[in-house]
This record gives sequence, C-alpha cells and structure tokens, in this order.
Amino acid sequence: MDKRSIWVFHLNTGSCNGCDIEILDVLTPFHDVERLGVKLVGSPRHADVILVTGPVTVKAAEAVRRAYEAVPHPKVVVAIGSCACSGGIFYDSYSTRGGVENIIPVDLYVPGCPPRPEAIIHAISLLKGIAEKKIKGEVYREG
Amino acid sequence: MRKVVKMAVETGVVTRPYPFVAPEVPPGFRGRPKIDFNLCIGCGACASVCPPNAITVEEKDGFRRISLFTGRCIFCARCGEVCPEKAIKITEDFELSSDEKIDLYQILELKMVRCEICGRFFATERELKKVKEEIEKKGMEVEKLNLCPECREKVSAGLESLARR
Repeated sequence: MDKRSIWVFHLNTGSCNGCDIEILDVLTPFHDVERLGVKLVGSPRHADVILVTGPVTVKAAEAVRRAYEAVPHPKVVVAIGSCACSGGIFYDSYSTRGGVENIIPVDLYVPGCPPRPEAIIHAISLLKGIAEKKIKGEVYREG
Repeated sequence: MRKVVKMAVETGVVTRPYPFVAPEVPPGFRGRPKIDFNLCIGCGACASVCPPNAITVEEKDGFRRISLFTGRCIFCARCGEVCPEKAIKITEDFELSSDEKIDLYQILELKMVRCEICGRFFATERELKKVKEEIEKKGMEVEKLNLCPECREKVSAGLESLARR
C-alpha cells in the first residue's frame, strides 16, 4: 500500500460525531489529506480502508460485519477514537458491544477523544510507511 | 470568478505540511497521561476519579497492579490533577496510533506488605513508607501502621486477643 492511493470508507457505528468531525477536518484544505492520496468514497465496495468511529451499538453490529465483508481484499480496518478502540466511556453500556475488535479484526488503533486531525494523518502515514510508531507498551514490576 | 481567483491568490497556501514537519501543539493541550514508575505509590486515587475506568487497580499475589489503558482514555486529565505524588504527567503526545493493543498499556506492579497480625496484604510498601514519613513529621506514633485497618481498630480498642484469634 506504499505508493498507491488509499480510498477510505467512513463508518459511523454509534459515535457522538466528535471523531466524525475530526475526519472531515482532515479532508479540508487546512490539513488536506488528499495530498497523501486519500480519498473518501461512498461505498465499502470501492474502499481499501474502513475508518470506524464510535462504540459498536447492538443495532449497528450486523451492519459493521456486512460492511467489512463488502470491502475487497486486501482490507484494513482503522479504529478511530477511544470508543472504537475499546468501547471508550461506553465500555460497560448495555446497548453497545464495546470496541470494533469484538466484531471485526482491527489493524490500527488511533486513541483520542477525539483524536486530533494530526493524529489521524499520523495513522494514515503509518499505513503508508512514511511515519514511525511513537508509543510502546510499558511494564514495570517492583522487586 | 475573478474575485475568487484574487482571493485565493491573496490567501496563498493554507495547508499544513504535517507528516513531513513537526506538529504544532497548542499550550495547555491534554495528551497522553504518563505514569512515572518511580514516583507512583499505588494509592489508586487516579483510578477512583477516572470517568471511563481507563486506569484500573487490581491486587494479586502480593502485588498491586496499576494499569493505564490509553485506548479507553478520554484525556480529561483528572488523574494528573488528583495524583498526590504528581506521578501522572499530562504529556503533549497525541501520535498514539499503533497496530498492537499492548502498546496502549502502561502497567506498574508494586509490592505490598502484610498485616503483622492477620497476614493479609493491605498496602503497598511505598504507600506505607509515605504515610509513616507524614505521621512522624506530626510527631504521632507509627507502631500500629504495620497492621491492616481492621486489626488496627481492634488493637486500638484494647481487643488485641480478638485480633490475634
């Protein structure tokens, strides 16, 4: 996926619209992610990448699975925002199924509530191989 | 048309060249909370104020495990505000994308101490040391601090035989 354009499909699975607005912001002339070849498409059948925002509500779960199946191979799922990564603040709600990973496999996690437009561009750069991962898990045990 | 072209030329290029230059972070920006493993005493104040329970405290096998999961964090910075040891710093990191979930965790395991009477684990070593220092400063007795709260209650009431039973 290095040299070619990434076509993304934006899937809202019950988000509060915070992350959705940040995704729109990334596409504006100010951040202009189209210079990296990213194009927002209207159907999962045309997409390479699905951007999922929001915790997966019980009603949306089936739609998420169908949208994932409609994307041609090779496909990448990017979970944008803390809700999509793990369920976020709604993690123990009766009406959500937690993060997207409970429904479909996730390839990239982008935490943030909402993530800054730069954080989303960083995620796209990671996919394209022009940026490096900046965080690492840390474990410390005393004694 | 001419008007629009004139405006566009006057405005110039507004696009930020972000992934190729360092990002700009506004002052007061709340990024990823970072635990200083050397300062944390494991009191759990952060876990009790964390709205999405991104910080959890568990006790197992004589260790208290403090785990901060950035994937659930809402970046409210209350943990940094409430920490008595200033062990949680609110950094300006926001480039947190990762392909593995383990990268989003910060896990700290602290040794706990046993109660001298009942043998139950009741506090971390660092926590006890800190409390002893504070109490010595005030000139109060520190002998009973090696007991768990329940046993301390009984001993203070003169019922040491009840506690030992």
